[in-house]
Amino acid sequence: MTRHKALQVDGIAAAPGIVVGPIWRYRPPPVEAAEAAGGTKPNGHPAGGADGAALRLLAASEEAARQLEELAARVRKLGHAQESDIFEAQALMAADVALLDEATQRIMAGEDPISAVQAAAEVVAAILAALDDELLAARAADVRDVGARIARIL
Amino acid sequence: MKTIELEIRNPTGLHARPAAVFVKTALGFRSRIALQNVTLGISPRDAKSILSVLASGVARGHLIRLSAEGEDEEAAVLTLSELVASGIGESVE
Repeated sequence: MTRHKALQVDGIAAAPGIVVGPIWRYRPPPVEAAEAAGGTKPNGHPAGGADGAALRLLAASEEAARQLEELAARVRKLGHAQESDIFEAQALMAADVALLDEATQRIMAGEDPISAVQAAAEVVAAILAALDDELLAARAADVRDVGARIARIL
Repeated sequence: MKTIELEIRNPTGLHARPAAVFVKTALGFRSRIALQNVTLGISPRDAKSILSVLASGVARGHLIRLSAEGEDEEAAVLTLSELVASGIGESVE
C-alpha cells in the first residue's frame, strides 16, 4: 500500500466541485517580445512603425475581449454565474481605455506592443493591489491575466 | 453637464460584478461620464473604464458623484443613478 501524505491547499475556488486526480500545474508560456517581433531590436518597430504596432494592440485587445465574452457565456450556460461574472469583468478590462492608453503611450515611446501591454497591465495591477481593500486587490491578478492574454494574441 | 450625488448601498460597492454592470451601462451612452468617490476624496475617474472604476475603491456607504457631459447626459445620469439606487443587482436593505 502506498502511503499518502495529506496536503491541504488553501485558496479561492474559481469553479466549485470535487475532483480526484494527478496535479497538472498550468504555466502560461512566457511571451518573448523579441522572438515574437521577429528578432527586431526592442526599440525598432517592424512593419508599420509605432502606429502599426498601436493598431495591432487594438486588434489584439478586441480579440481578447471577444474570447473572454465567449468564455463568460459558455461558463454561464453551465450554471456557474460567479465564474462567468469574473470573465465578463475581464472582457471589459481587455478593452479598457486606461489599460490601452498606458500601453499605447509605451508603444509610441518605442516599446514593442507585447512588452508594452504587459507593462501596462502591471502598472494598473499595482494600483489595484495597493488599494486598502482585499476584494479589489484580488482583481490585480485578473488584470495581469488580461495583459498576458493580449500579449499571447500579439 | 448633469451631476448627481448618491450613496452606494449595495453590499459589495462597485466591486467586480456591480462594477462591470455599471461600466457596461455607462458604455451605452455617448456622453463623457465621470465617477468621483467623494468619501475617499479622490479625483473624478472615467466611468467607462472598469479599471478606473475599480481603482476608485467605492465601497458600501461611500458617497459618489456622477457627472455626464454630452448629447445624452440627462439619460446617462438618470439611468446610472437608478442602477446604483437599485443595488446594481444586489439587494439593498
